[in-house]
Amino acid sequence: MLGFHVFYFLVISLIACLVFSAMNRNDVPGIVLLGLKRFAVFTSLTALFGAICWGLMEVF
Amino acid sequence: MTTTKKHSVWLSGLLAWLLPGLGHWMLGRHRRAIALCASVMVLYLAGLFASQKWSLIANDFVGLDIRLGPIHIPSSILDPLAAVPESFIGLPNFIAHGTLQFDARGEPSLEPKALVGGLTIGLLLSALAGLINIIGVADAVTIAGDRTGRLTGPGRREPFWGVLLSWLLPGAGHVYAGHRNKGILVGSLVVGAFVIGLILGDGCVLDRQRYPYYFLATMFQGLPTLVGGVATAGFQVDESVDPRRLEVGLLFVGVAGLMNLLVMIDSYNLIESKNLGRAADASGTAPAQPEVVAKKS
Repeated sequence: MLGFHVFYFLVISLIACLVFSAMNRNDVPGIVLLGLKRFAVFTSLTALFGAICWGLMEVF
Repeated sequence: MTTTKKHSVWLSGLLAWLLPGLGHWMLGRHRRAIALCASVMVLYLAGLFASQKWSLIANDFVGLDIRLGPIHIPSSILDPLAAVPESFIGLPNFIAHGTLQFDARGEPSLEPKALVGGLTIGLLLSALAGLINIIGVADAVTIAGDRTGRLTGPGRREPFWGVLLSWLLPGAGHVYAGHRNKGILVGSLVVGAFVIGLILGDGCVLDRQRYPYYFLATMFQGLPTLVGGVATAGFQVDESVDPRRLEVGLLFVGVAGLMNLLVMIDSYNLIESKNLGRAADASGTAPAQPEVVAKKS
């Protein structure tokens, strides 16, 4: 259940990061690199905050 | 340096608002004036006709007394959603609404016979006419304010066509702007998200009556929505459709549509930046460098 949503969340996040990067770059390698970098930062932070919130909810 | 005759920006804008195409006519752009006036007026009159406003106006002008019970003009006819963009067409709108108000105060009874579908289509058409005239006003103001002639001169690409092409087919506006690879990449991403959504939702995600808000977001891409809508016309939500997949599918098609709005804005920005760079170059001021600015961020 969770895996299904997480997988498609990652897919749409990757697509969105690439499209948003295309707003800032005009060359394809630049778009892809910037998009991947943003995707890495975005998913890492989401996972971190998600884990913290989940943990807090479990505790309290 | 090429210079054009100086025109009043305010006067051009005012005339373009007052009567579609009048601002362009004053600026000497006669073909554009006729095309703008014809397209806006045809859409506006078609909207009046479809929403049965036309029958109200025609009744007043022709003097036919159709008695169909007490006078009743439904508030939906003056729906603010349509009235706001409509107000960007000055004189015809005043005439139409002035006539309507006069008719509402008069003795002859008249009941608009608009069907809900016709009313909605009519409101959308007249609102679209107003939105096109906003572009017309902006264009007239741009032409009038262009001291160098480079911003509006021959050889430039039209941002309007870039946006329209991007709406029709995601990425096509970037190809038009000269960024072929970027257009293909962006178009593949947006259309890819849309197709994934269609597959996940088992073709039921473009049901505009069941999911009107998602459908509105999807409408930001023209051809994929049209093709997808026709291809999945007979699909209905039933027990065989997995609600989890449907939920994610709706998210994908909605996000794809909204992302295409960004793509449309970006294609406009790209073309306009190039045009502004040309204009700045001609006037001797520092040219805009969108590529350099973009790479810094």
